[in-house]
Amino acid sequence: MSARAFLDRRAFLRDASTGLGGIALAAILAEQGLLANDRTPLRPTIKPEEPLAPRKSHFAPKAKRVLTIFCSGAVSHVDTFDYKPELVKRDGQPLPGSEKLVTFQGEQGNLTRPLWAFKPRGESGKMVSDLLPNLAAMADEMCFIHSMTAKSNTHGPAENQMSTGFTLDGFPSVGAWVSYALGSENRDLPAFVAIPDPRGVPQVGPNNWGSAFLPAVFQGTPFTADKPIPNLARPAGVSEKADADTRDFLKLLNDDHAKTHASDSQLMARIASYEMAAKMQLRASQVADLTKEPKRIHDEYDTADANKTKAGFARNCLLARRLLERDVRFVQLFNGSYAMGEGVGNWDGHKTLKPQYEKHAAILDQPCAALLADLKRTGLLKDTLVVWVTEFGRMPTFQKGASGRDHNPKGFTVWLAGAGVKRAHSYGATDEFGYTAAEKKATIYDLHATILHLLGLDHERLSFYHNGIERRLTDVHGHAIEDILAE
Amino acid sequence: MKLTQRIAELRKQLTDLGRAQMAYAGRFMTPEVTHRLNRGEATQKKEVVAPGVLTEIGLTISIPENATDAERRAALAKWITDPRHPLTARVIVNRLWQHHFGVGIVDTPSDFGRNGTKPTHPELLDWLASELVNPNHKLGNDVTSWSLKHIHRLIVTSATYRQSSAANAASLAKDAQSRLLWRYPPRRIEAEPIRDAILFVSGKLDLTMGGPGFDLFEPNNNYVKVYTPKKEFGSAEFRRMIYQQKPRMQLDDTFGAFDCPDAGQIAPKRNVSTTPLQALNLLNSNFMLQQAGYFAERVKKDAGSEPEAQVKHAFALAFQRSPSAKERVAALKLVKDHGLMALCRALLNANEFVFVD
Repeated sequence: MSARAFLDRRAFLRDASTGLGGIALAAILAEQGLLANDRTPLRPTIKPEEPLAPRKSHFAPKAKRVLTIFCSGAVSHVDTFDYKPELVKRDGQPLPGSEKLVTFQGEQGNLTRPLWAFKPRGESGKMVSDLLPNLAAMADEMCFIHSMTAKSNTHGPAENQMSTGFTLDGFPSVGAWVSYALGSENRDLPAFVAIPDPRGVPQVGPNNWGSAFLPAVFQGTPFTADKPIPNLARPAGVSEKADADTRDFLKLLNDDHAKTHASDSQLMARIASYEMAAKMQLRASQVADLTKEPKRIHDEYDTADANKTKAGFARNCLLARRLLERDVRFVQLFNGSYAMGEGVGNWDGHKTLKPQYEKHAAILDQPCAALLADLKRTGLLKDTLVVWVTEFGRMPTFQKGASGRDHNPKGFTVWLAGAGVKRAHSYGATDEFGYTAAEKKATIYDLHATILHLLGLDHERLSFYHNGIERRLTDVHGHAIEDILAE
Repeated sequence: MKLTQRIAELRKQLTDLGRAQMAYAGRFMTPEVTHRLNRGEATQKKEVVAPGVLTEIGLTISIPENATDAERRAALAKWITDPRHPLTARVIVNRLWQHHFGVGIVDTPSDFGRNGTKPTHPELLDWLASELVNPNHKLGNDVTSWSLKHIHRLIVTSATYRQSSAANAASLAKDAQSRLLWRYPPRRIEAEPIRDAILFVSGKLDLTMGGPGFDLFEPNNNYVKVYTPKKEFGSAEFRRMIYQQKPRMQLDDTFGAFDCPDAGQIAPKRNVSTTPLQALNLLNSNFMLQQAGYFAERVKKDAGSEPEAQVKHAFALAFQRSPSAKERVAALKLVKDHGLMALCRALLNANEFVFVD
């Protein structure tokens, strides 16, 4: 990485040679970035031979690892987690002010009550709809943000924003930033794993786990329970013995070569990478081997359901838990895919929301709830941050002439659970219909700042210098949402 | 009757013409008046400003307010390429140097000056820049000003470039990164040359230049295109990787891991990382296995069926040398136990194969 020379307070104090104790102390503190009000960029030192070596956070973290669950297509918040009694009452009436309203797909019809009944759940009595009954039963674990907003009403840019903080292509994903900042405790597995839905990937696909201008080593490795890491397995035509002997010969070649090139750390790193590859072949195969799990677990997740998609997603959920328990730093689990177009394999219910959502809920609900319960039961939830997201919400009205809801980035719901967030908590609110964020409006910058904060990272200082800009996940915006942080 | 027919025909022709291929086309316009915006606010227009250049860098020029857009662009182009411009030539020759040595004389190729690092050899940088603009040191060729080839020739025929990469402890202690070029800095080559080199050694490389590129992903017409890497490859894919149709966000599943940049981003300098995923790709991918097979076939064809000769030839093709006694013995055993292809697979994975030194 290029060293950037600039005159700053830190350098000045270090170079000043008066020898006074106070200045020396200040210099030491400045070196460590510990002076109060020090806002200088903190760029982790990456060793090219060990780019994923674990690194310290800026301050004590609450979470050691993150699981994001991305329901792609835009889940309707008014039909799931955002209870609006006024929407129920005024069902069939126009949304006030909707004559001038322009939304993504065109004219709006009337306000339509949630298509599933809302009921109080758990000890907290949180109102969650019947669409996702198993997840609803876990409501006490959840910390809702009901006032989330997005900058775009279009899937591509909005997916980009939720996953990378920017609506444009070409920015690193949250997982890449976290890998860059913290490395990984487990070098036998990728630091950042993306698990696409069995039906395919969301619209901007690899952008969701890409590294963009961060070093490529920090990108997510996509694989699922049914599609292993590419090139992980020994090739079909090569026997185990042949493979082992070939690697031994390779090591001989490399060791001899290294003797006459004693200085080159890159050579040693490459030799080490082949050893790590061998370990990864073993460990990645092991982690994906779900037969090791007891029947009771398989039943809870429902990994053998007659619905092949649900079963596939369930296996992905179980894979996610296994990755997390092996300290994979960032797991990004997807539900929904764009391969088949609008609403068919994802939550984009423009025209026929009810039958589509019944299908999708059947796939999401049980396995996802089982995953959350499993994290709690194993104790992983204590130091794992779970973040359930979607790219934006949907309208409280039906589209004119259709039985579905249009895009709505003005107010929607995400929830967090686990390390460092309050249980059974709700932050912010939309207006009485669920149309627009009205109280304690939150942005995706805030969400990202909060995630980094829980990992012990200052979102304003974690940066990477690129193209003349001190780049940040949160650009120049956002603040950690104090209100949702547990004591 | 004929006339009505004729009218109908002409009407149809008109409609057909109207359905011709649509194109997005730009239109030249008179440039709008530009105001200085107070605090960058679009609603706070202050005085009118004429087009100009960065006056802190090099020459001042004056572009009249009423210059047409073509005149403005021409003036900018002339300013950038003026021989007296302090940056243009230096930045270009620095990039060329970077491609030959792995790191430029200035190692922040897109940041010269305050935001970047200082040149390790400022006089060299200046000299190369002046050679680009005003070539003096002609190597017996017809060299014109701004010839990149001239700079390439100067670099690769220089004593510096032709140095050995052998290390010694004293120099390492002073300059481990070889920034002062006391030796040729060894480094791993980039993704594209690795693939090209493999094809070269297997004898499959098609050096045809130009024309449409090739695709490393299966054809797919989905609403949102799905990029499934090809599992089988034919002669169409055996061209240099620079001819790969590169989708912006999707990297090749074998070579992408070797620090290919995201194609939606500018990347003045690539990172160099070493990861186990790279190792897995080179060991296990279909492409590699197939090429190891072709490599073995070529060796058999060239060197015959005697393992001794085969081993010698395989080393010659991959490493341009003979195997050491130790390597010979080990290689022969590998070939005897598992066939020539096993040896070829190992050679293509070796450090010596992917490092230039």
